Amino acid sequence: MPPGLTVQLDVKAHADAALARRTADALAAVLSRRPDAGRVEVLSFHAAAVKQAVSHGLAGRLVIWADYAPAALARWAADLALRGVCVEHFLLGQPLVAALRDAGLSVTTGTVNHAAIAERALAHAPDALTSDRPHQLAAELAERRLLAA
Amino acid sequence: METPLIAHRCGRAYGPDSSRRALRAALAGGPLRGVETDVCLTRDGALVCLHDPYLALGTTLTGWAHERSAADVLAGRLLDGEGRATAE
Repeated sequence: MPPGLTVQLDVKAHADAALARRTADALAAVLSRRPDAGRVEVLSFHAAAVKQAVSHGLAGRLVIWADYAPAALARWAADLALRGVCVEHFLLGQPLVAALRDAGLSVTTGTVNHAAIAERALAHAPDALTSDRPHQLAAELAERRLLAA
Repeated sequence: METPLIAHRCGRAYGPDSSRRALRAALAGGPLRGVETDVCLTRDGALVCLHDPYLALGTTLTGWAHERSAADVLAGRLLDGEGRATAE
């Protein structure tokens, strides 16, 4: 893996929070033996996994599929010292993004594969877009910018 | 302005989810901010890169990743987008 690249490891554990915590523990054990652990972010839909990863000194990012109580979410994430939140693109909006930013949290998107959706997401200045087809998306966005110029 | 991009599932448009093929193509295709993949715990405490802990969704195996040993999981094969077994 080239240096400088962030590696996001998404803990998957179906609906089992205890399994999610054990997976985060196993990740922390593996990463404790690696000199490049600092570039790893532990992602998960499981708050338990992210919390566990952070307790091991790893960077954590919660993936969210709902935007209930943005201020409470931001406060919880900041209190836990999460690096940030991965927000599905359809949830991106000013109140949520502002709450996360005001709490000092990084904001990335869930999967975005279409240029029009990416442009809407970029209006919220996320730290990164996540895509199944990043290079084609980058080319399409560059083309749209040229056409709009 | 360069858009900061993360390759999801190692770049699943370029190969099976979280596969070496997808990763190689994503890394070769241009600048990236990062790569995302998924990790599941096996019965014997190993970590495997798999999007779906329910193995039938992305591999030639059945059951759940946490119910199988790492050796069992590694003996399976990833499925491609059409559900065919791959070499990985």
